[in-house]
Amino acid sequence: MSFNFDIFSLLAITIFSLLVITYFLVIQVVILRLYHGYQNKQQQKFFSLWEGRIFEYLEGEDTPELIIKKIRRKNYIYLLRYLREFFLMLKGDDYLKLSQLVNQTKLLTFLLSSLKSGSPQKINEAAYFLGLAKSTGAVKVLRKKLRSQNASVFLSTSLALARINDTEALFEIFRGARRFKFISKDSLLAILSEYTADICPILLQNLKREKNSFVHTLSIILFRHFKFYDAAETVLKIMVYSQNKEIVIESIKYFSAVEYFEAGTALRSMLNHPKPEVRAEVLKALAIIGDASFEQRIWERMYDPEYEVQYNAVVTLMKLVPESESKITQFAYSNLKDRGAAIARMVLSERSIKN
Amino acid sequence: METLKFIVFGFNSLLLVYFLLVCSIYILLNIVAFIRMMHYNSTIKYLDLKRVFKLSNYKPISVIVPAYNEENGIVESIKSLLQLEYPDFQLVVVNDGSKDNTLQKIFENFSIRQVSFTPFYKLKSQQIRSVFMSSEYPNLIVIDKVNGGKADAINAGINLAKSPLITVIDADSVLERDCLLKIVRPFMEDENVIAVGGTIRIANGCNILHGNILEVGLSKSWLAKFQVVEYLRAFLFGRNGFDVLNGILIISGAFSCFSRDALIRIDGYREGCIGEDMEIIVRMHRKLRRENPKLRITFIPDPVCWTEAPETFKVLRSQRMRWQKGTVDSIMLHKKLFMNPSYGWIGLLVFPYFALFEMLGPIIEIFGYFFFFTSFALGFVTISFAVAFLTTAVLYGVVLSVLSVILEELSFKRYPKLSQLLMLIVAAFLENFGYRQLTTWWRFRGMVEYFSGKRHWGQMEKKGFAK
Repeated sequence: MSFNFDIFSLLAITIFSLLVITYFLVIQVVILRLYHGYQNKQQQKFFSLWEGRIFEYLEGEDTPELIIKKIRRKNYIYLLRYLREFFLMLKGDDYLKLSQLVNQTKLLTFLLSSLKSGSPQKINEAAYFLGLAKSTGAVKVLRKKLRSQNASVFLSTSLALARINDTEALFEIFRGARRFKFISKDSLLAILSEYTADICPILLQNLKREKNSFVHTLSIILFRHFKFYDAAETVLKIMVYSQNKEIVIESIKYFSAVEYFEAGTALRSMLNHPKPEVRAEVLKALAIIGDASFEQRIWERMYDPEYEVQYNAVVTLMKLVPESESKITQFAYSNLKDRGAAIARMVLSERSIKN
Repeated sequence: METLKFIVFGFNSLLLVYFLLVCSIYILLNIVAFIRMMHYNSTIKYLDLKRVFKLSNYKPISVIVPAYNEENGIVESIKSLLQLEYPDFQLVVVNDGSKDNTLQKIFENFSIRQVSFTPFYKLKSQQIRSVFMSSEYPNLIVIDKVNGGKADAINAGINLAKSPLITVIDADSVLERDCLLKIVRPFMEDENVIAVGGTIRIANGCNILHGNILEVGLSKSWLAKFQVVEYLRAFLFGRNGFDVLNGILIISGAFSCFSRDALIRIDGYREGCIGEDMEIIVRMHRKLRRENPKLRITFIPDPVCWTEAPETFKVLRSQRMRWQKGTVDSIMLHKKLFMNPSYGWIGLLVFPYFALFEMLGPIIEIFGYFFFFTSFALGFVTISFAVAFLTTAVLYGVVLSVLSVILEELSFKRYPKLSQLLMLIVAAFLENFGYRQLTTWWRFRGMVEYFSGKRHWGQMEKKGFAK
């Protein structure tokens, strides 16, 4: 009974295969490095050439076509990569002039053909640059791509359309997000906040007939993001009747962001809300849209069973009624074992350091 | 003699099955990791991380830094951490009863003043002596507490942390400045994410100034180079591969990010635990994912944190023995997961993998060597077979290591010079001749010590970064 010929041949074949694999892997690493190095060099060469040229273009009289004419098609991608940071940085006339480099030249045709290709990677890249340059000429194709079953294509085209501020695509994006169930609220918000405030009246119109709580929450967060005051009355109605904790919290944050003082009465009643997160949020909002008449109700929250509520009660009280500081100090040091008093002491000492 | 032959033959056959099983799992992990990395690369290519500054829905983060006897590097560390790019973060440094001048150094450099405090939560920890805030840096909080170990210090930090996300880092870690922007992404993209880990890289040989990596390099020490390859393999393949099954069982303690609610629900870190970074993740799977299988513990392949690797055998041995004890400890504490279908892939595949290959691996390997050479000495196997088998095992290890170098080249390309890349390939070859066997031996000793009751941490000396 010994291991002999059969296993030995098998091992010999394995060794040979592994040696071949190792050899090819090493060669591949080296080739990859050389290829990346070459690409990098080309890109750097192109970038250094453009370092001065971009400012000459922005300040000069050259037309976008003239600039692009000088660049070979295979270098378009380097140019786009170079312009990326400028797109993200520049504003006003400089941005406008920069976007003309994409929108009024062969670059647009180049990006559109990438957008129409079957490769998600190419589509995503093209969508990204078309969005940065706010290429309205690409809207039609981008909208078509929104229906893609590929999540990354959906996300990149949504972002591009949001950057272009194509309000007509807004609800298509909402519908698409429901199609891909794993797309989170935060991801969607990150895209939608690229729109301008123009979407707010549209969202408000939709909010009046929409029943979906996810859309309600998203819309309210976007109203807050754009500080859109006109939705306050509708949001107040939604908040009062809503049983959804998230909608209630987002509404409160919104009222505070747009300083909707009329929400004060509704918020007063919510100081006894069963959810501690809501009570804490109400207190934060009252620091901005409340007044001295809330003092007594806020004092009651200093005895709340939840730490976060107590903490916000002290902070809000000190902000809303500055005269209450001496009363809070007295409360803080009157009972050293009470948790509310301990929190008051903490807020007082934090404040003394910040000041 | 026949009985002996039978035993040796039986064990050798088992060893062969074990070897083939390991190879198959690694090949599978490699394929999965490659696909995932290619997909990940295309997603992050045009990601504007800093866009989060414009958003109103970003998630504040509390960064907890447990510090014990860190007087040499604590000031630089804090200064560097305060420069992290993120719209809203709080830095909570926990002085875990240091015997040196750690606290004094902080006093001298950050204008801190004592504040009255009351903890938000009640996770178990040693007594907090005082809490300080900086008048210069409003987001810096310093906690001074009685010594209780790393887990205990983190718990104290969590008790005072105000943000919904908690990042735990080692005081001597060097972080990429945009690491918080990167680590927060999975939480934004998926509401079910409760913990995220990132890739840890070896900082030895890098040019570091004021806690920032200026230039990535390789150490002259071969021991450090072997560890670079080891880390590449562990992070780019191991964790990437398991992540697809939502099967991450360990997130490195050098850099991890958690949802605070999840940490509170499992009562924080376990005191007195040797491998607290693995134990907490296994416990999260056990307690939280059973209630809600949709919850995710995930991993981002981006290099977010650089750490100093041991360059002496003594320190490396101590580290590996401690790691092994930590693995054994976590597995033994949660053995209920083993082959338990109620925990899905974790119970049926990932946990058994860790138990059989990570925990018992060193024992099987050491006994394997013993039986193999015994068989050879007794003439049960021919010399050509012995050589062929060992060559296969070594070459297989080489292929895996070279694959991880390729993956690095296809993704992050952090080693800029061709010479560095070639050096890594050489290290990928050489680590199979001695280094791997040595670490296996230390892991074996770690297990022996664990089961014989020596469960202490051991000393971990660090040289510190030169600049």
